Parts: sequence; structure tokens; C-alpha cells
Amino acid sequence: MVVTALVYSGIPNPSWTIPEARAAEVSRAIAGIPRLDRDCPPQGGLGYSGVRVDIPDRGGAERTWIFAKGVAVSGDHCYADSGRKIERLLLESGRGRVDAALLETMLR
Amino acid sequence: MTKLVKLDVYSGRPNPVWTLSDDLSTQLSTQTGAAPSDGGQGLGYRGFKIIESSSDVQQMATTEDLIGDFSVTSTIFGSADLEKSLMQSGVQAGAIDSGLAGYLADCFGSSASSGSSLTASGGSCPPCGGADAPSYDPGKWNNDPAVQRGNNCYAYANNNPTGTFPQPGRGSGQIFASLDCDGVRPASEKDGLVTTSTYQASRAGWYVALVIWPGQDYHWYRQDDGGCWSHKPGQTPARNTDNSGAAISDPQQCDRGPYTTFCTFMVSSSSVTIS
Repeated sequence: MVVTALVYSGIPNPSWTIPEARAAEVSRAIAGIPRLDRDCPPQGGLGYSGVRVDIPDRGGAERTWIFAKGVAVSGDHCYADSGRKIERLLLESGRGRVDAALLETMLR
Repeated sequence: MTKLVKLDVYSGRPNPVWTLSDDLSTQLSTQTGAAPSDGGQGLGYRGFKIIESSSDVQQMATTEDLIGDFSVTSTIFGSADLEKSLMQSGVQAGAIDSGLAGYLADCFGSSASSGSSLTASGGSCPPCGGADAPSYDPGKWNNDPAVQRGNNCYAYANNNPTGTFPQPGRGSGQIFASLDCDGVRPASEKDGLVTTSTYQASRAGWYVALVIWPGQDYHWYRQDDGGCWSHKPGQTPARNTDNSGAAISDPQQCDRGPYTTFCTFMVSSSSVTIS
């Protein structure tokens, strides 16, 4: 399970692999996330715009989720990430791997 | 079916929704002879959507997450008079507060003066001096997830989807030494870009602009053949609006988020080497 903070435009974004125990916690959180029946918000912009997680399945394919501003997007569907709970969980998993000041900015 | 108005403005929280009055419904049917609009893109105001819902909406004002499935029948964007009427109806319904109304009023003025139904706000596009300037074609960069992920602002500005997340200087053997103007500009010059003080002159190639998030990152914009500017923020989709959702008529003046330092305009061409 690879997490990428979507923050930079030119240089590569910070990216890290989550330890197995934390990955299981993230999987459980994502499994219970409620789907929203509305248009997904636009993505992107300059500066921090969300966190992406690529989750491999048993067949070797990957499912990608992007969490930002209380909404998660995967494929054509969007979901509620109440209180940015999963987004913060993913970002916190980068503590020690991402510049501390930048991490605090993204967590705000 | 219940006819409703949805204000498309928020990214995280649900957008406001309210019932469409008979008077406004009539006004819409008589004034929507203009070209249809898809609404604006990016963050901030993107237009009013007229929607139909099978839900029995009792209250005047609600939010889109509470009305169940709905379908969009039309989008109102770039028609200032109609937008003002719709905004007033939202205020009367209690769906739009005074702060949001003030923000919207500024958006209508800008979008009306631009004469465009496809951009959120901002002035009209300046003349394009680059004889070889590319067209704005976001699908080329956004439709394939691998292309979107593998290309950054530098690839986009140089109109070359290398898929390598190219870095200034790497194509000519020496990546930039520091994340400031004096580090990135000379590295991109080695790749073949040419520094210029203005984007007004007619010449071969196309104009690009370099900005810096001090100590953190760099970013590039490019001028498209329509005269306005577009960009691709990292692995996120290419877009022709700034961080406020406005069209970019001059990257020196637009909302650049944390990329607060404007370095210079430069000229790119098909002979620039990036990797």
C-alpha cells in the first residue's frame, strides 16, 4: 500500500509504503466509508491538494483513492471522509518520512 | 420531478440547493438562447445547475447530499444577469449567506466581462505571441491515468509528455542545483529554453512562465494559442484556471497558492530537450 502526498508540481511528490499493521487499519477504514450521491469535486491546484493511496488487490491490480477536504474519490465515485479521518491517517503514516513542517501544513 | 437550483461552488462540503421559483423558471426558458455551458472548472464558483430530483423536497433551502439522485438539465455560467437573479433567489431561500453572495457578485462581474462561458472568471485573454503555441487540450494529459501521473508542469509547459516527470536540466545532463529562480532558470536554459522579459512579442515557439514555492518546489505555466495560460500542477490534471478558479490571463497576477515568487517568462519550442 503506497501513499503519495499530492503537494508538489515540479519535483516528485513525497511517497511512502505503509507498514502492514497501519495498512490493515487503513483498509478497515476505507471498507466502511459511505458513498456520496453527488458530483465528485474537482481535483488538483497548486500546493497541497490531497493524499493518494494505491491499494493492490490479490490479482495484482491496484485501486486508487484520493482523499481531500473530507471527500474521497475512487474511479467515478466519491465518498465521505468525515472529519478528514482517513486523509489524516494516511498523512500521519508519513511522519518521519516527510518534512515535519510540510506534514503539519498538510494536516491543517 | 422537482425543479431545483444547485450552486456549484464548494469542493469539500455539499453545495447549496434550493427550489426553483415559477418566475425564475420562466425567465430561464426565455433567456437561455445563448450557447450551452459546461460551467467553470477548478476551485471556487463554477456556475448554477438547474437540476431535477424525484425527491419530495419540502424546505426552501437544502444541500445536495440530502436530496438523493438528481439529474442536471442545464448550467448557467457566464450570463451575469441570469446569475444575479439566481443568486438573489438563493439568498431569499436562505441557501446563500451574505459572505458567499459577496464572493459570487465578484465572480459574475469578471465572467461577464470576459465574454466566455467556459472559464470561471478573470480578464479576457491577451494576444498570443508564440507562433507555435499549443492548443489547450487537457484530454491529452488527463484521460490516461499513466500520462497524468507521469507528467508534471515542466512536461506540460514544454508540450512534451515524456512520462518521466522531467526535471529542469536533466535533459542536458545537470539537474537544477537549488529550488529558487537562480537554480531552476539556468538549468532550463541548458535544456533549450530562452529567457525573455515579456510575452508580448511575436516570435517562434511559445511562452512559458517559471514560478517558485520558496525552498520547496517550482512550477511552470504555458501560454496556449488562445492567449490565456494553462498548467498542470504535478500529478494532478492539466487545467486552465488558477487556484481561485479564474482564467489565467497573466501568470504574474493569478492566484498561485504557495508559489509566491514569480521568476521570469521564457520561450519553449519543439527543440527543447527534457527528460
